[in-house]
Amino acid sequence: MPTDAERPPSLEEIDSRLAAIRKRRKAKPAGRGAAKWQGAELAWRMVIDLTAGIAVGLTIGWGLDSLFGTMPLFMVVFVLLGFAAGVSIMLRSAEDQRRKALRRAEAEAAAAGGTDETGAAAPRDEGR
Amino acid sequence: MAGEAEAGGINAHPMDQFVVKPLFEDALGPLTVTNSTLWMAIGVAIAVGLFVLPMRGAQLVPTRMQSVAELLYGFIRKMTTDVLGEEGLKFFPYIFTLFVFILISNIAGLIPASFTVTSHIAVTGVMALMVFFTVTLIGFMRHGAHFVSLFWVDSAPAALRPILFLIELISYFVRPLSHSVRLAGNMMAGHAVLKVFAAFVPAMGVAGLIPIAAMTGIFALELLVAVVQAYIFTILTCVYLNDALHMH
Repeated sequence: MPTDAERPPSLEEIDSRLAAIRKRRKAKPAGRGAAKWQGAELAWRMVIDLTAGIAVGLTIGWGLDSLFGTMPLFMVVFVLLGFAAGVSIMLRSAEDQRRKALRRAEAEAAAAGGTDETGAAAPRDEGR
Repeated sequence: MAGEAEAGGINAHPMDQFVVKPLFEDALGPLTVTNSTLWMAIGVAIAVGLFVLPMRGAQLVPTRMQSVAELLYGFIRKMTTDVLGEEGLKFFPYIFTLFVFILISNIAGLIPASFTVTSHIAVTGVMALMVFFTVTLIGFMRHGAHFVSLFWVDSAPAALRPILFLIELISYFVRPLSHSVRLAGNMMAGHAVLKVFAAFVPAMGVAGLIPIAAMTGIFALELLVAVVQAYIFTILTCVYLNDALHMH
C-alpha cells in the first residue's frame, strides 16, 4: 500500500510548483543592482559627450581659422556650438533613458497583469 | 626597471603597461611588430579557437565550446534584430566581428603581464572611424542627399534652423570621438588603478593584504567593465546604423 510520500504528485501539484519556480526566476533578472550601475554608465557617457562636443567644436573652429586666417573668430563660435551640441546629446540621452524607464514600467505592469509567460523578459538595450 | 628597485618606497608606474614596444627590432617603424600587434594576433587566434574550431563538427546537441559560441552568436543576433530589424541582419557579420574582437581584447588584457589592445585610442579610434564612415556611406547610398536632412530640424523656427543644423552636424562628428574615448578610457583607467594599488602592496608590508583584497574587488569590476564596454560599443554601432538605415 503506497504511503503519502511515495504517491506520485498530481498534475495540479506539479503545475503549481512549476508556476512558483517560474515566478521566482522571473523576479530575479530585473534586479535594482544593475540599474544602479547603469546610472553610473549614463553619467559617464554624458560627461564624455559633453567634453567631446567642445573638443570637436574647437577642432573645427581651429581648422576654419587657420584656413581663412581669422584666428579667434570661428574658434569662439564653434566652441560655443560644440558646447550646445554636447548639451543636446546629453538631453537626448536623458530623454532616451526616461522613455526606456517608462517602457520598462509598462512592461512590468503588463507582466504583473498577464501571468504564465515562459522565460524572463529579455533585457532591453542598455546602450545609447 | 633594474635601477629602480628601491626597497620600501612606493614605486608606481601605472602607465608603463600601455607602452607600445617593438618585439624584434629596436626602432619603431610603421610596420614594426609590437606587443600590440602580438596581442591583436592572440585575440584573433582566440576568436578562431572559440568560434571556428568548435563549429567545425557542429552537432544538434552542442558540445560545451559550441554552446558558448552559439550563446554569443544568438545574443548579438538578437540585439541586432532588436535595434535594426530584420533587414539589419545584413550588417550582422560586421557587428559580430566588432563585438568578438573587442570582447576578447578586453578580457585578454586582464591577464597579468598582457597588453590591452583596446586601451589605445589608436585602436578604438580606427574601429570608431570605420563605423562612422560605414554609417555615413550607407546613409548617403540609401537616401542620397536627403540624408543631410538628418541634421535639419523641421520642428524648429526657421530662423534657428541654420544654427541647429551646425549643432546637429557637430553632434554627428562627436560620435566617433565619444565612441572611441569611452572604450579606451574605461580600459585604461581600470588597468592604471590596478597598477597603483599593486604598488601599495610591497610598501605596506603585512598590511599589504588590504590593497590585495581591494584589487580582487577591482579586478571583478574590471571583468564586468570589459564585457559591458564591448556590449556598449556594439550596441552603439547598431544605433548609429539604425539612424542611417531608417531616418526619421
